[in-house]
Amino acid sequence: MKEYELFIGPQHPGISGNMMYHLWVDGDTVTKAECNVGYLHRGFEKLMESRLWMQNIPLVCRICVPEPDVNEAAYSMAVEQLMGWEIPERAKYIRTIVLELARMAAYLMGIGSYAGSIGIYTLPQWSMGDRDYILDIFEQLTGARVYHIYIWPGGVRWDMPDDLPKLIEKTMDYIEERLKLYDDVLFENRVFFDRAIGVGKIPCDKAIEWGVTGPNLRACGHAYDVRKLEPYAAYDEIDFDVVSYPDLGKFSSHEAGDVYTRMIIRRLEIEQSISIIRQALKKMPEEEHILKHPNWLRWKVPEGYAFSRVESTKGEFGYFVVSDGGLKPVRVHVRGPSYTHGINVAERILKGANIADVSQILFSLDVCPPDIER
Amino acid sequence: MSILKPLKAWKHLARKPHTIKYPYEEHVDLNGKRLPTDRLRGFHSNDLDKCIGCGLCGKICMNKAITYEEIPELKEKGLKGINIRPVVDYGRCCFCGLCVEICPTHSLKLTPNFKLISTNREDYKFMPTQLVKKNENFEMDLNAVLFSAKDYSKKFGNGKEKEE
Repeated sequence: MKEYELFIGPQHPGISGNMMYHLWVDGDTVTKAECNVGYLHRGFEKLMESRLWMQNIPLVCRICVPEPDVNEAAYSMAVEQLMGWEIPERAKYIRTIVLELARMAAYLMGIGSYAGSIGIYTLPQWSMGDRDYILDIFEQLTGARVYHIYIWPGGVRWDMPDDLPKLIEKTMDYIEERLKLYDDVLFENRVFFDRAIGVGKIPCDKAIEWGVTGPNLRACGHAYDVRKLEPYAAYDEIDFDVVSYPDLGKFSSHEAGDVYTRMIIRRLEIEQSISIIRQALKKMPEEEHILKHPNWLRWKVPEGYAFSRVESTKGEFGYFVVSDGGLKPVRVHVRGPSYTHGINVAERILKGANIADVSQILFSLDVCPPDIER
Repeated sequence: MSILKPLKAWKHLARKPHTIKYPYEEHVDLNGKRLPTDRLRGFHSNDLDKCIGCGLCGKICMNKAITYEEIPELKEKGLKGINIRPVVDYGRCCFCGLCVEICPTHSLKLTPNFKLISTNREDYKFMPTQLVKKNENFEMDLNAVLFSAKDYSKKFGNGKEKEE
């Protein structure tokens, strides 16, 4: 049969934002896939060069929409490195809690949209609803539901309200309870086994060469987690194990690097986040939450360069910040995880897949288009 | 895995729905506290008597949402500083709150009000004053809030009136 072309996106329910995949299809099999981006380019890296150090904080959070806090944390950590600041202990714990809550919110969104892509439409409704309870916490802590603008160089913007730890604990209990329902609907569901096992495999020996990071790499059997290898915030004082293939707890492991393993890793990391947040709430000391800033309009950061990295749900975020001792950064380079996953990895593993599997493979990679183009 | 497992789905019939009938039902968190709390970054309020017109809010605003308008009556009232006051264009504002953090007199503040409805584009650009206050519905009543620099003495009175 003659080969034909198929376009997925930019307005397509099988894709997580404004990007497009151009597929060449033979019968039901994809023979070639090409990623086509450019619908969401906002020029952040260049824009940051013309703004003051503090003015960049409301900008960086827009790089990854489902999980904005990692960008604020990575940028702030880079500025702290340049300034030679050591942030207060309390700020470290609040950062840990905020980052983990953001992880959970992003995972709930990711799992929900994945379930939608294989036709289980109950889970998106539930998980987006449960994510809203996490956004309620953010609203009381940071003053906004999505773009928090909360993690600042030198600490966090505001202290935690006195009644918030109670609400966080209650929400954690609630989500732990809900995860059992998620298991019934998706993770122990026959539809999921039949659709996901052995599909969209990332070759484990090539994963590092291709630049795979985050849960996708852990699904390939590499226990690689920035939170453990290069601890930032308060992760070095918190007890947790990296979830990686083949140790999948109560779930049986089948093949490394396929859609099934990637989603199970995400499911287990929600539990991990709950345990981290509970520990952090217990250990949080009473202290000042932020260092004193110089006048923002005349804030000169010492000359030099800094690289900071943060683990996000999509993979590893890295910020390279160069300063010439002036009021504005000379260069900010963002290493986004979705760039490698959405373009390099997706184009290779889509080859040979069925048309019906294309969207579930893309969702299982957890690609975030705003982060690809920036 | 059991043959009875699908029957578990029946219990969801008794569950409360996630969704709320928004304007008629209050938005509450899991502890039953009403949202939004005072921390929500909504529309600005500005104490025109406390503000000194220094212009720092306009300098730190990266969206260039803040411009200034002159109120001549402020001089007559005998206030210190410059007689200009910020005007915020809410079509540009991203509610980051940097202007509030930098304000040296703490006169500029954010209120949790977040609703503003108007079919007129010009209404989204106005001078925040003391008239903007937190209210029950977190709604901005444009008739009460819209303020023009010419009406200053009519709304807040000038120094002479106070003496009388």
